[in-house]
Amino acid sequence: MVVGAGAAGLAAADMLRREGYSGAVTMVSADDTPPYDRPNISKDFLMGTAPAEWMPLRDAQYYADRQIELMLDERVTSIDAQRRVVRLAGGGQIAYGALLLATGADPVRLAIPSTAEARIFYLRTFADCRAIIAAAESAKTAVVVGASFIGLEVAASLRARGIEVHVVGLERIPLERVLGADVGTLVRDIHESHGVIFHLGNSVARVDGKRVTLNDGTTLQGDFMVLGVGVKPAIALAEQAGLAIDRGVSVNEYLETSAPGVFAAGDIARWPDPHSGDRIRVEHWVVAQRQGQVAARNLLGSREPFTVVPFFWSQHYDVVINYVGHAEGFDSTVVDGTLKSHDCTVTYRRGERTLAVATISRDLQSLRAERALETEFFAERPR
Amino acid sequence: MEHIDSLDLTRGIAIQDLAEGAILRGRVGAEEALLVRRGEDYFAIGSACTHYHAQLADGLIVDDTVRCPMHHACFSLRTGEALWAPALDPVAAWRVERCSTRCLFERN
Repeated sequence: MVVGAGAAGLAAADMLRREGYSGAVTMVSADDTPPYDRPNISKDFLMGTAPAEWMPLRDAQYYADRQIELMLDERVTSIDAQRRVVRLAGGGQIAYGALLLATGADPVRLAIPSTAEARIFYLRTFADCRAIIAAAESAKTAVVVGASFIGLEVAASLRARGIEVHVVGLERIPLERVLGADVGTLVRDIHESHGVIFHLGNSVARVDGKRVTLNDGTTLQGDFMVLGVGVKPAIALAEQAGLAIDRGVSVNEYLETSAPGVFAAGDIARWPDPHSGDRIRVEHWVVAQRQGQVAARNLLGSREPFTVVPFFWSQHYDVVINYVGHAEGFDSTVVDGTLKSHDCTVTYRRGERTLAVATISRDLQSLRAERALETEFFAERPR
Repeated sequence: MEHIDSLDLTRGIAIQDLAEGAILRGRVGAEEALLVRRGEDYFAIGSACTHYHAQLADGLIVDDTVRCPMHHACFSLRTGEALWAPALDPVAAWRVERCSTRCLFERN
């Protein structure tokens, strides 16, 4: 039983079959669309340069051939981890042998005072993306709230559609907490060179139709707004099931929760990261997929620790940032190369230790850095 | 050596042209492929990543795997299996036969 059909859920179902498991596989998804390439909904698909055929991760035949039952637009309302039974919102219950919770995350919603005709969008699902595209087709201006990865990727995609884009963010430098001031400033400059107008250190006070008033009194015109102010892990079900919670669902190195037979992967899972030594939770596509893959093998009885070095990429026009590791609370950065020419390696450190490495236009270096972070771990803990 | 874009691996490769651990780019029939030598082992697999089609030949060899330069998917050089996401589907894998000074290819 897999709850959720995002990156982790699909990768897990796929791995269950690849490992030769022949029992029933049921995936329950609150989404109304079969698993799709979510990173693309803020990037090329939103931009209008990726055809719809690229979006499904798998076609209908795949689920049929592998006998993966996909229940869309359905929710698990409760888990009885003792009896190993889940209840569905649509009625009925399903018994399971082992369960993977991969419920992902929901956008943080802001209560902005606004009039009824204000058009405010969030971006998490394919349906959200299509709604934004529909709004963009007749729009001349847009206001993006949140200078986050999602906010900035949306800004870039809307600029590619020729829309005037304002980005409002509380932060002084976009992405500074994750990427540091140097890279954050570079990202801001790249967006400005593509015509994005920033309103940083600022927030939205109210929205009257198409008039957006900021806290400092500035007024902007926005035919619509997109809010990208972060996500929160969808842990209501885990809480109901009585699982240990720690700003997410607490899992051990095998991605198993406090309830035997119940695993968690993806945006909700907080796991002991052997590289940083911290218990971390990350919201990245590839990490979620790889957790789904490891969790699937552990669902089948393996005892495989999750030791993957986190990786993500983020695209800003023709500049792609690759990032390996996890550097919550870095205290210094070292830049090799030049940021301005978009050819650099940035190392994030805490004390003497390298926690993470970001690269621009240096793909091999990113792979080597990932390998170095892995090797460091295996050297410390021989298996 | 022939031009790299048209290097037909099915015609065989002189062993001396294959440096240890280096990636040789070519094709098997119409398919893009890469060839890697690790000691006495020779591996040939498809070179287009099944995620976003980046060239695995531009990636990094780690043990008996190759990692994609674009989004770090990892493939087995032995079987072509996509060992780590974001790729989920395998690439082709060919059997490589070594005969004295050349190595040859056959479809598995």
